[in-house]
Amino acid sequence: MYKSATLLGFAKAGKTTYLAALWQSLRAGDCPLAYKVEALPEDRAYLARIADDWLKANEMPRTRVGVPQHVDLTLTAAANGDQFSLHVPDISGEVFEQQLQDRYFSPELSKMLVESSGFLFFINPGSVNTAGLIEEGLIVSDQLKALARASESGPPPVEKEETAATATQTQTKPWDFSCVGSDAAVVELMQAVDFARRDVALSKVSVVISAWDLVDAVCESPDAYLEQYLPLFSQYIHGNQNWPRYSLFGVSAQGGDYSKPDEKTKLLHMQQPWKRVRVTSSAPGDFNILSPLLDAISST
Amino acid sequence: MTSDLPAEGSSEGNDPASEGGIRLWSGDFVNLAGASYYKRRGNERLILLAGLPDSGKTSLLIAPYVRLLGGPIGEVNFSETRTLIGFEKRCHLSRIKSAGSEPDIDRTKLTDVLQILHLDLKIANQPEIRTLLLPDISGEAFELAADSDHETEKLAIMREADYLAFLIDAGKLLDVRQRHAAVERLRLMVQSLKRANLIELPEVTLLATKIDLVPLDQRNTVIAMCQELAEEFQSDELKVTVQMVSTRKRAETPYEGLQEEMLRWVG
Repeated sequence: MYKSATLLGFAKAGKTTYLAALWQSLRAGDCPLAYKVEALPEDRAYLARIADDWLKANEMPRTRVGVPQHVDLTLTAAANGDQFSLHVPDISGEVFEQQLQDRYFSPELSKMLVESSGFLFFINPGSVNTAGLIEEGLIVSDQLKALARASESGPPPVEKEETAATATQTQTKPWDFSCVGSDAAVVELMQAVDFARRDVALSKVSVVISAWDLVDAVCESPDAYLEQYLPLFSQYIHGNQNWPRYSLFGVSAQGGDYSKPDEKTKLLHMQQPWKRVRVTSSAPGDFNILSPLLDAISST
Repeated sequence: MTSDLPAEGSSEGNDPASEGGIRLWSGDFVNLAGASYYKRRGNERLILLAGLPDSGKTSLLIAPYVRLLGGPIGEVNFSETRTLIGFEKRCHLSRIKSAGSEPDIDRTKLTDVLQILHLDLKIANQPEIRTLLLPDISGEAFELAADSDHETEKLAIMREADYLAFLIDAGKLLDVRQRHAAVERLRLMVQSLKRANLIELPEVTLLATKIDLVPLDQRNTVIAMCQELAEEFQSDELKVTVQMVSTRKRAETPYEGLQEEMLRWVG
């Protein structure tokens, strides 16, 4: 049996980190996953390289634009020895942004999207940017001025200076796709993937909120995260008949923030690196690093 | 599903799709052929906002998308849009990323191709998807129609409207220097559209936009002026209802009347 899963998401969404953590978890003899990798893949240089960074708790290298990395694994079921081949292309996030801007999916990307058994869509809360309104900035400015007026110790009014400053700021930035906020951008990518697959059967998508450790203290579930921070996308996946099957996961594939020395040291001292990984879902049950992948390809 | 909708808009030159790639739809707008697709599908509502330049048509047309970016509007949820790029471009000058210092919106240009925005909505506890088709017609086109019978035929899509509103800038109604001219231009526009038999609906709205510009103690004056105009436009075949709306967040009552207006669009 052959399955393929495509990792979707913009730059720094966590796709490669997930792949590295997945590979190391599948390789670890004591990691209790439903599947194992018994035979080494023929071409494993890419996996070895990203696994090396992951084990050293280093930031992942950016996947090179124009050079998708293809990972082929043979997974063996721990329960009965059944095997299936899995193909996972790792595509640079910049490729998705550029091709949405160009309104054209290259032959290589088109083939991957059309032939994919399922999708993992990565969103990194640390990279999410909002499409803030100028009005919202002005509202904050109004509130600060009101506070300053109400307080005797507040700064004097700066109306004249601001007017002069803004008068020089008449040059606006022309629109391009990078101006689209994360929420609308992920919706457009999903709509485009749906369009690319218009002649093939509906497929399933696992939405992965990566770096979940950044938000788990403030969001009780991945569903709650989407509702609060990506409301358009949340409405899209709930109310869109073209994606009737989706699952939501929060995945901390790094296990913590590598930029914090204490946290990094703690992670490096763990005896079993695969235990860095934490996976949660809005659905009840126990989940692991393999869950988003198996869910995405499960019913196809 | 909108997957078989023909791509429209910006494809140009040789189509690289023949090389195995996939040409995406333009995302800028749906043209009349695209709109016909939705009409065949049913559940669509063609929303037509008629008004002179700077009456607030585009701000209002993109308002549902802008509001849905913040979450559902009551029971109305976003489902899909084939014109996300078009919405985003129209929003751009109101966004911080544009580097502008005051929110703005590009004036809709007079074009040969009718540009229609598209929005699929999902109403809570209702199985079917509701489609809004939102033609973005330049105020100049209405101005020309007000001036010449010859120009009114270019607005033939008005006959297909499921909801029609005549827009008037409430701020201008309060300004004695602009009031009479604004009313007269609107009067001329409505009379021209009626004369060309472009209004087939039994009921339309006279919509006072930018109502946030009108202080609360002067609202009754504006409403009275609009009521007077509505009565003038009304006939045995046409009922005219007055409504007020604001698309501004930075106002005493943010987005005043906007949710109610959108619910009228959804039907």
